[in-house]
Amino acid sequence: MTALLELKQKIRDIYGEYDTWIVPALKFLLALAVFLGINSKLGFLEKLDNIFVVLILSVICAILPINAMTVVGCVLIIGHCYAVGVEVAAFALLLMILLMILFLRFTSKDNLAMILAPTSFSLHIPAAVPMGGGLLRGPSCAVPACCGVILYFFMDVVKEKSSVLQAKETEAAQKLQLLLDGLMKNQEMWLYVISFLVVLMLVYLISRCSFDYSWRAANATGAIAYIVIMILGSMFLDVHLNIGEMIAGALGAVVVGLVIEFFVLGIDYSRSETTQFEDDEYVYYVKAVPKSVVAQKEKRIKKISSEKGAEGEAGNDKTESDDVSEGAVKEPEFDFEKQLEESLKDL
Amino acid sequence: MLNEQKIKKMNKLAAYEAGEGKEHLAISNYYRSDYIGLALIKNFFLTTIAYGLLLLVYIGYRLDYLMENIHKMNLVLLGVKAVGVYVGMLVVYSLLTYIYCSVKYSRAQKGIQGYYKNLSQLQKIYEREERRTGKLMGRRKQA
Repeated sequence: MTALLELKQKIRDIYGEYDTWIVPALKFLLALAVFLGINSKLGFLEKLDNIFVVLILSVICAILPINAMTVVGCVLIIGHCYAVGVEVAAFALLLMILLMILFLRFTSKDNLAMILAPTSFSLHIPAAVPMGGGLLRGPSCAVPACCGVILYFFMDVVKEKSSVLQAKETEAAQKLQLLLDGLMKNQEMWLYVISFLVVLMLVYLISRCSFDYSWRAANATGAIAYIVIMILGSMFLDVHLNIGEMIAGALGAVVVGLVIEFFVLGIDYSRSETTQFEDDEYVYYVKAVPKSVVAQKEKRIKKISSEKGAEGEAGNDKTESDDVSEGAVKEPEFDFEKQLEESLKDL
Repeated sequence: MLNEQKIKKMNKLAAYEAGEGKEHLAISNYYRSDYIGLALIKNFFLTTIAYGLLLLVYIGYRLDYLMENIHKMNLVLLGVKAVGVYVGMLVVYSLLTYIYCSVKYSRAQKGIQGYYKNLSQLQKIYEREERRTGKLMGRRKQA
């Protein structure tokens, strides 16, 4: 644990020193993961399904504010839908405008969750988004996370029914019906929306409690709630789930939650203190939990300069300190007393 | 000589201005009623557009059924229903917008109060510095 804390401290120091470069680099990597996820899911437009295009878009997103990633991701989805058919692209645009007007305009600070949700699905850890949102943000993050689920299942429907949607015999109204039925009658999608909502709320409420290890308890509860909802859903709804994969995904989300806790919270409950005091109006129950910080080893170079007579002392210093420099600087012999007397005579 | 306290204060102010202060300062240009009123007007147009799009999607989805049964339908009742849903949606979204904007405005006010407090403290530091330099200049002239 100490080694981990030292590593955290080192990472913090490096981040503090080079944050101008580290933040865009992280944004670049995130954008790359998001865009590659979209391309692997859809990938109908060959011009967009090109690593160079993805790299260029990621570089642009690294410079722009983080919400730009959401916009570029949406544009990428519409582009791929255009390759399937103009009607599909129009429906995708319509869906995004509706999501924006009806839901996302109230949660402008959390909208990244919308584009992270499809990425988490492609990484097989969908529960990581509601758990991360519950730990780091708040209930408002549930809205973009659920919109992200809708977006992912829209991509899924387009991929599954691409052959029908691309066929020239299919009329525009039929395509619309196919897409809408694929979304509105998709029980798996609604199951994920409910699980995202419940998990995010549970994680948020439990992590804000004052008992010890509340973040870990929130993580565990979130994972259990996710597994239970999905199993119940697969039992009572027309949803076929791979239970093993789902449990592995929940465990992966727990690991993500623990990593978030380690970097964001990092407190030592074993040294927590509780005090109680009162004034004229209130009684205060205060719980103070110290942050786990490890003092980093600092290399100190000590220079020892001494006269001949004081060599013994210097020798002792050398043996005491491991970090003493080898090359001690020797000053030329100088009689201060004599010099002082001469200067006084001048006065 | 560098005044550390002044630099800290200026850094705090600059960070606020570059971050959430940008939004707070823009909001604080409005009176509360103006800000919420403007948001409600914007909400009216956005909700109308969203309702129009939803209606369009619904008509497209049920096009076959509508084409076959339009002559049997009570169009007045259908129209009343459509208007009722629209009004309901407008009321719900107006309420949401009102609550959202009220919270946002009060948060901005709090942030701006802290900002002005820091600004006045910075002004005091400047005045103190000016007084000090004035005294020094006076002494030099006397000497």
